[in-house]
Amino acid sequence: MRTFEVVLVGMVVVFAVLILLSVCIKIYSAIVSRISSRKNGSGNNDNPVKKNVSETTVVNPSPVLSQPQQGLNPEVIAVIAAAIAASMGGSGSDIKVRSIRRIGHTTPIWNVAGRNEYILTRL
Amino acid sequence: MWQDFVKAISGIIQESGFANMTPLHFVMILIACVFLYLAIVKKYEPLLLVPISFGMLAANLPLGGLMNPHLWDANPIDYMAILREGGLFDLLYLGVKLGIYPPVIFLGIGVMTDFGPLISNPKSLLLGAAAQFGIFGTYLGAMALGNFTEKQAASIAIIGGADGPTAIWLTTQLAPELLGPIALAAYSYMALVPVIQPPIMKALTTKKERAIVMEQLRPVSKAEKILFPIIVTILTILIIPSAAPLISMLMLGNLFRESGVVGRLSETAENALINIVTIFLGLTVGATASADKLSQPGFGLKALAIIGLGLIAFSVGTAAGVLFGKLMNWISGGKINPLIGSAGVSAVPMAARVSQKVGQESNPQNFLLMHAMGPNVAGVIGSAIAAGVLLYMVG
Repeated sequence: MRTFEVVLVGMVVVFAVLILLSVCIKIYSAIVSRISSRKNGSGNNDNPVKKNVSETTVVNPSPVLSQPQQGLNPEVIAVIAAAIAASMGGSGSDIKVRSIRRIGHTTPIWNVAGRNEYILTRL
Repeated sequence: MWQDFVKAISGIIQESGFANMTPLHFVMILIACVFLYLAIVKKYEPLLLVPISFGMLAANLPLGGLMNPHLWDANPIDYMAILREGGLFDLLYLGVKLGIYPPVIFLGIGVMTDFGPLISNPKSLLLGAAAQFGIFGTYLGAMALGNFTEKQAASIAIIGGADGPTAIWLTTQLAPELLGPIALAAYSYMALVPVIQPPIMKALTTKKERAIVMEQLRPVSKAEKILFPIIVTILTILIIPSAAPLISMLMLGNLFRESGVVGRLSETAENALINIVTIFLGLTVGATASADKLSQPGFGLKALAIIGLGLIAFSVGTAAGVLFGKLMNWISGGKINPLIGSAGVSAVPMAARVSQKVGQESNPQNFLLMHAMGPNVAGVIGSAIAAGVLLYMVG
């Protein structure tokens, strides 16, 4: 009887504490993100990143930049542009990103398998 | 003249360790050599098994006086006698006995752990909790066997936490006489996680479930990461004060890491300090597995039972995690890959790697590693809490 009591109390307490923790994490995450978004909202004018992007939009009007609701944020666009510039060499100043589209998977399956195997050896 | 010579030589032989070797000493030395082989050649957790098995080897050579089990068997323990008569291992073992080493190791683990995946997906805490069924299921099993006391059963059950320092910490508090076999079983099975888990994971899931691709985790801000250790410390210790040594040190380490203002401290905690303490811990835990213990009636049988129960603990924990993952997948409408549930048994980061590997066998495009890290680190918190509860209930 006592054994079952230990098991029952043990599992209930472990679950209760971890559920409580997950609720607390959710609450404080929401609070932190609200505070940080409010800060960003008020300091919109002196946010250098956003300013740059809006300038780019003016200089190079591109379909993606004007449609941020598609889920591509300026950071992702910057990363993709930087990767293209790096792989093409040169300063990258002559590149204009007009559109970014997700294309289907074209890599041969053996390449993917090889890549995955390599990643696994590095894990 | 000749007689004196023979007498002197035979005296030396009789005083030497050889004359004092018993068959049990040979058995223990053999076991130590097997573990050294596993550690060095097979690379099973070598950082721990090398010191543990060497400690076992050195302590089982008679007359060396490195470890004196009779000093520790006294009830109550006479610490002055240990300081006066104890050997090198006896003095180092004080850190284990007084519960100093495991929390210090947790400090280092805290520095090395990124709780980001957990903060970005707090639901994974539930998977970390579900995998603790392994601990309590094994407790039931050990009690059902009938030849363990409540305290011993709790110490064996904690093997299912798949967390070496937690297992050692709880065992020294509850059943120090079983420390050697429990530590060896815990670390050996942790090394065997890639062998034990995949068959269970595959048996309990369909190929379609294993191929589920999960949504990308949201990025976690620095403020959230800094708040996490503080909130967990306050909440957990207020609810379960007996888990305070492990949880507080783990979270202090994590605060070192995330605060970013104490680089020197976090570097020391995750490198020099944890390595020094691991050497002392391994060496002395191994040294507790002495031939004198094996000669006690029934100890060998108990050690075998511990090894069997340890395997059950790992298997039940894995199965419970995967099944709970399936439940969460069903509730969420197919958004959670049940394979990440098995990572809830701690064994960081090995169990998460196993989730990644098994997931990728079904869908080579799938990357579950970061999703599995959430339950994985939640498992560390979960097993520390389970240890605290067991200590409170049976201690």
